[in-house]
Amino acid sequence: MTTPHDTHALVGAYALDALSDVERRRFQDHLDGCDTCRNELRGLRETTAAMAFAAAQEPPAELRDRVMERIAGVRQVPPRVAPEPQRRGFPPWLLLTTAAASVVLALVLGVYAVVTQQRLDETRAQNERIAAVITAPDARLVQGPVTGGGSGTVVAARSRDEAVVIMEGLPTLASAKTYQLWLMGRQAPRSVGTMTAADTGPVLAAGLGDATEVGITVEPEGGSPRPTGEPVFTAGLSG
Amino acid sequence: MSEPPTARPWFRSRGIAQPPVAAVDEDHRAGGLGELIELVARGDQAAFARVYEQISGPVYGTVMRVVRDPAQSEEVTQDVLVEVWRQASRFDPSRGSAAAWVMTLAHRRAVDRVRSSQSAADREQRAATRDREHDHVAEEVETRLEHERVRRCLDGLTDLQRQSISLAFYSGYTYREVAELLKVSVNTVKTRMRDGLIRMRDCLGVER
Repeated sequence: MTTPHDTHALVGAYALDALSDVERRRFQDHLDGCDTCRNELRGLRETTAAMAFAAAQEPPAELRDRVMERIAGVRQVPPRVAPEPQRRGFPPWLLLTTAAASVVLALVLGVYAVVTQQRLDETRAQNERIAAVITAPDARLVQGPVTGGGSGTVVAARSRDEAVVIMEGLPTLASAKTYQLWLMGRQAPRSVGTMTAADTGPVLAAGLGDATEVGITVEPEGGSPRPTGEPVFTAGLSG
Repeated sequence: MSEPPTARPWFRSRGIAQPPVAAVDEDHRAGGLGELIELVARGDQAAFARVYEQISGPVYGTVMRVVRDPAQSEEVTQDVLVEVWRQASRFDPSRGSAAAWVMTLAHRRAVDRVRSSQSAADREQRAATRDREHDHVAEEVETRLEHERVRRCLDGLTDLQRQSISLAFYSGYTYREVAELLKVSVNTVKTRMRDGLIRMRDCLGVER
């Protein structure tokens, strides 16, 4: 028969790792609901840590190199994070429309998060603009296949005069080739930037003007001043 | 009720001069163990090298006490240090000092190692045959302690408190085994472990 009081009395033995496995688990369950025990345990742990430091003994010198070598090949566990808060402020169409919309949103925000972390200062402004485009009240989403494989999504917001292009599953090109993005309309095509199979956006296309389409062509490495071949992908910019 | 919200970590007290102690002084000061562990969590190998300087001795010494066999102790020590690297992001300063976090990990690993390498029958046998040895074991531990303060505080305990704590912590026995060795009831042993540790805590924390 074990009463809560008996269980609590095991805090000393627990701090000394003097419980059997079964008792240890049972005590850990007890700890979860017992603030007093956790407070007491904290003090006892500092005490046993002092006892451990008092027993210090120089390890063999070669251990250091072995440990340093080992850790270089061991992935660290990520920190625990609080659940993400609900996002707010997306226009109804984005929340209610096709699954495709949420896919592109996830992609864009995913990349957004990674890029933000890596090159905060350089890319923050750009990312804010991307976020502003996809959350604009008049944002419109168009998806289509890419000739040769993959697909693309364009979110355009006329109110911002900008569009966001994100591609998925683009075939890898020969090393001397690149994908190039264009704004196309009545005027000559205007380059928006290049892409590779490994880096597929999101790309921000600014200054839509009177362009009516976004197109992608395959061009020599470094890009061309104007398209040299047929587009492998086009998406109409509505409105 | 009368429990202080956080017990003062022993090494934050003044008047400690020995190198292993000075090395862990003030967990969260710049270059302190707690701060280094936070850097380690971000993948900083240079910070880990400094953590190694501070904790490899205490980890190895503690593991050696429990495991005894030098080769196995080295293995366990390496495992513990790699775990510190791997789990650095899980260190939570609000739950205690970095020193306590590391040593808890180390001691548990050591104990798990000796217990998994012995069948229950062996352990019973060991408890029976070690009957006469415990005084010697406890004495050896106490006289070889490098840290004056800890030794002095251990000296301030009753015999039963000191033997219970030493046999559990430095030899890795369960409280039931300790009861068997000391020929007292298990209830007595678990009570002595608790009140003995509390006395140790107060002795280490209050004394300046």
